Amino acid sequence: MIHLEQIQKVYRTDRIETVALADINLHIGQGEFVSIMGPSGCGKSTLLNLMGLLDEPSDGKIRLNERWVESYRDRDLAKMRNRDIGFIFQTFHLIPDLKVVDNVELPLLYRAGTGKQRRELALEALDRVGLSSRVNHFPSQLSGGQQQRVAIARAIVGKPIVLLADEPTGNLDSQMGEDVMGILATLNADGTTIVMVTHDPQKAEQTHRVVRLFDGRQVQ
Amino acid sequence: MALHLLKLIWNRKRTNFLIIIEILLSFIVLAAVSTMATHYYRNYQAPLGYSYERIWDVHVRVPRGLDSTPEIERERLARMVRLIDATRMMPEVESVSHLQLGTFRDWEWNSDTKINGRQIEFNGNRGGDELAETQSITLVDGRWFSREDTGQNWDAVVLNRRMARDVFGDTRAVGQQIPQDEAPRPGQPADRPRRVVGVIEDFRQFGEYSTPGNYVFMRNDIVTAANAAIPDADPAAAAPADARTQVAAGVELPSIIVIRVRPGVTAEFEERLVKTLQTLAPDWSFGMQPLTDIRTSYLRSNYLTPLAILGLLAGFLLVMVALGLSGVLWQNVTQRIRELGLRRAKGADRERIRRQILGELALMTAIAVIGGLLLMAQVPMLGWLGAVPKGVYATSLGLAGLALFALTMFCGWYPSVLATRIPPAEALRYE
Repeated sequence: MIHLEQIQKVYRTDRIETVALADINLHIGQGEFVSIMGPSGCGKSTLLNLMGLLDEPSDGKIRLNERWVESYRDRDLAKMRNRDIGFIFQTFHLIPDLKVVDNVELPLLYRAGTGKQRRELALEALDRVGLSSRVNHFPSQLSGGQQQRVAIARAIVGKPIVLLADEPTGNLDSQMGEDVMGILATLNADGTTIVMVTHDPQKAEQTHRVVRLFDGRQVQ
Repeated sequence: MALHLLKLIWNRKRTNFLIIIEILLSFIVLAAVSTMATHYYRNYQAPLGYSYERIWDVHVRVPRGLDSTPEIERERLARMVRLIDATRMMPEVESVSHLQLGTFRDWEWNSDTKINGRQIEFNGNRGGDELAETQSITLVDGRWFSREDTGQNWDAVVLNRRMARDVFGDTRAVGQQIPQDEAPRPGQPADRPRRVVGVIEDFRQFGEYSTPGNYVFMRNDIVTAANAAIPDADPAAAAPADARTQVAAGVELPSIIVIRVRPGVTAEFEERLVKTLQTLAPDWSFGMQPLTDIRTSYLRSNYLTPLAILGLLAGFLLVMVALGLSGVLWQNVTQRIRELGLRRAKGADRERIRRQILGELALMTAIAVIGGLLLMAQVPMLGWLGAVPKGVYATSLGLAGLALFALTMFCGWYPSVLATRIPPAEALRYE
């Protein structure tokens, strides 16, 4: 599913070179629910961005869904992000000027399909996260937990094979966090591979496997 | 996608309102500039109808007191004939004639008349029999004035093509009399019939940038009038002279002697000619200039300088608009970096992001242009178009719209490129 080989990520400015990740070798199989843990600044989000093709490694190779992606052009990477990957962010990243249903439709705008098909898929995804009654609300009219559920609906609307969640419960209270973890567990039970970055050991315990990072290196 | 962009624009109406207003105001400025530019360009393209090369104008100033009598007027005409004859004798002169209202001057004889129930406006002038040859006036039908028009019971006129079409439609104008709807004023004699002897391409007295209009030339037969006997005080006793006074009717002392000189004639000729004319008419004054110089100075002061100033102001305004628009768009894009990062995370490639930014801008421009068109459509309805034809105005609005699209795309292009240079991971973290 996701295979990382000798991954390095170095950020360079004029004077400073910061090694964000070094010698990362990781394989995540289909249907796994993996959490990535580590202290702040250890490279968890960087690793997730590399898996999600949002960033390029300084060295090493990435294979996603049996395809090595290092030679892919921007358009091919965008297509893979659209079809194969769903993202969930700590700060939700909803577009405040669009209604809930329009936010959920967003990934579908970048693939073929009619407006009616998009609307049906978006309503179906919102139904899965229990937000059918909020389709015409704007994000500012929702609670944090509801906003994160909208973000999950947007992540799953395109039926991706892998969900990448960057601290999805980080901005939520414990009850809302549990609700979100419940939804993720259900999605995983339905066959979706999930990689989740978290600080919370309790949340990590609910996953199949924990990858620990320290100073940009994989320690477990 | 267009619907999605429209939703975004509508939901961000507060932010977008200012951009749309700025584009709308720019459209109005551009529409005004392009209307003027198109109007003057079309005028410039239209035929002038005569030549100004190797033509010299002698402006004859005659002191006129309150003591004018028919005898004095006849003597003045006779003196004018002598001046023209003397000019003709000079070896440098190829051809000479006279004109009542000179070209490239703000001397105007503007009138209107009711013909076949329609009010027809025209500019008029009086010219000599050799004027067409002297100034190379392009005849398209019939002939110019000649001696055969003398002694007729009608006055010979030459129309420009536009006037001929206006009065006679598709019927051939030459040989016809201009119909008169208006009855003579009480106590005034009826106008003599006017017969069309020729049709010219045009005679754009006020130069290439003036709006082409109707033009009528009347024959100014100063030779016959100068030789005519003065009628007796008792009209009943002057039967033979009656015809001659009719010949003299409508004749005016020309103010311009038009000369076509031979190639290579220098300014020294001016001095000699003026001296000759001054000898023949010591109390008259003469101002002589090549028509090319008169034209240059006239066009510069009446059209080119005002147009250049207006163009400069409009250009400056558009540069300011372009800079303002670029700034506003760049700020708009900067505020949306995270959104654009999200869109890339969700499957939009760089090209799509660029197209989205430009697409939003194109939609806002379309909204502004439609608003501008609705406003500008009031101009012809209120009759504010003046001499600008409606077709030219419509074309200019179209051109202004296209130019504005080009301007906004140009202004939006760089911010759109900058927006796509940021990697998605970085864009999502952007504060």
